[in-house]
Amino acid sequence: MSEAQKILVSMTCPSCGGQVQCEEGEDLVLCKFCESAFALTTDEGANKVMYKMTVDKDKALAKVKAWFGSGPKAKDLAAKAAVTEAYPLYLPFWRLIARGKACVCGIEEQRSGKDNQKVEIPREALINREYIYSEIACEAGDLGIQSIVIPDRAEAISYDDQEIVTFGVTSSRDAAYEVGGKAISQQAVKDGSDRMTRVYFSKSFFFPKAFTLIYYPFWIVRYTYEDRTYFATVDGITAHVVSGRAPGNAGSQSTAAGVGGAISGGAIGLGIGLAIATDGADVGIGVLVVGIVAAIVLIGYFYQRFRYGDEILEGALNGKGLKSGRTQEKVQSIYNETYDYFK
Amino acid sequence: MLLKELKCPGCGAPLKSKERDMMLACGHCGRISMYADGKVGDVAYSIAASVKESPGELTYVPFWIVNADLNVKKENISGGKISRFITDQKQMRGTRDFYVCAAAIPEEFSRKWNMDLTLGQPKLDIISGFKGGKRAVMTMEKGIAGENAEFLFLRYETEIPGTLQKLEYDFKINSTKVLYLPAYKTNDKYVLGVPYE
Repeated sequence: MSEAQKILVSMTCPSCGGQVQCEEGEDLVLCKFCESAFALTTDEGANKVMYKMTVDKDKALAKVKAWFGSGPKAKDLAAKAAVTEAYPLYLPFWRLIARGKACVCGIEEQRSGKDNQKVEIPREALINREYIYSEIACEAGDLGIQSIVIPDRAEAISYDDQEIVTFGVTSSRDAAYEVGGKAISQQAVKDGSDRMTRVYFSKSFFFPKAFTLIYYPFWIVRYTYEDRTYFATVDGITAHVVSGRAPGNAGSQSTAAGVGGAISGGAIGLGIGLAIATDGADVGIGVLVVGIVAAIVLIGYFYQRFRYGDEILEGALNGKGLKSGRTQEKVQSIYNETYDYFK
Repeated sequence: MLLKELKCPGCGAPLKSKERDMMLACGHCGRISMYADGKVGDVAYSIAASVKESPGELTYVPFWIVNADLNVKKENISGGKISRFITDQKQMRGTRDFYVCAAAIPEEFSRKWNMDLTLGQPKLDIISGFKGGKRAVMTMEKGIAGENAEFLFLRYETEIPGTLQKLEYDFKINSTKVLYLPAYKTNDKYVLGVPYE
């Protein structure tokens, strides 16, 4: 990933009327025409920026229809789903860009030699890199979105609450800043301790570069299937489906249960058979034990697929259902201009 | 969002600048004031004379000088004892000035300067003006200078021979002030004009 892309917002110079560019995180603003210096002040102590929606309703619906046909969803979902509403919604996110620095020391345990002896190798690491933390700033838990990655092509515009439908910000600026800084510091320590089995010392810092309240566009698409209501959320700039609920595939559930039962039974049967054939010899008992353990693991896996397979969950959604896709992490590492050191 | 015009705290004239510099010079009375948290205020700063001339353009680079008491209570380093003894490794202990480059200078230079100046504690000739050169833009706020100084100490502890395992220390900041050091710039290269190694 390249260096964190800073948001630029245009404003009018109060002195000469020229256009001034305000860069995310910079509250000292200069006019390139008259060279006047200004302090950028905000109501809530953080710049507000919104991104221009570039995905239209038709494209959002087309993406949701394509999503109906992906993964272990009901086979006839695309044919039977009826879209009941589709509307644009801007969600607020706190975004903190900061340099994370950490010193981490500890040991790495390795096994080596003929006897597979445990060896402790002293390790130390310095982390010095840029991180971006983002977290949703409103109560939108049922939408399954906790964080965002802003695409390079996103166009930032000045925030105007008259133009958009949005949720109110429910988390405080100070709390979000503190949580974000802590998350970045913790991530720096985690990155430093990657190879360490045990950490004996760690100290971390975060040096903020920008803290912004971002309003990011989405399409919310609600639909029904077999008299039940579901939804999908589409990114208003990349057009990716980022979260949603969908009915599961009943055929896949039965197959999961059948295959799970058959494999588990077979494994135990093989173990018992070998135990009898070898007249209770160690090898036969060993295979039986391995068979039972394997069967327990397989039963557990297929039980999960069977039990929660009635609903598919995409994104950061809680509740019963089969998780699908990847949840966006709150902290991202930026590897450009990294001055890490590992020993 | 609103843009509030910044004025010189000395004469009240509007401040103008071509570059985003935390140290803003008044075009009317010449006074330099510091921008922080949406305001400009008085600032004390020192300028060191160049005693080692080099080819290139003379530029005065701002540093935060963090004077701190560093008390290492417990340290455990695995290996490297002989190497530290042979190379007569300098110690970063006690009360000292930590040099933290506050300008947007490429890190390959500023990292080395910060470490070498902090270990070397150079004797400097202080002068009254930016003689024969221009000021480099200051980009680092005072608020983060102290933690950068503390991280410099941790960097030192990991870069010396051996592998740091355990560390207990107190880092108490006594003062933080601005010092401009002379440097000679040719293309993208910088050479400091003060003895520091």
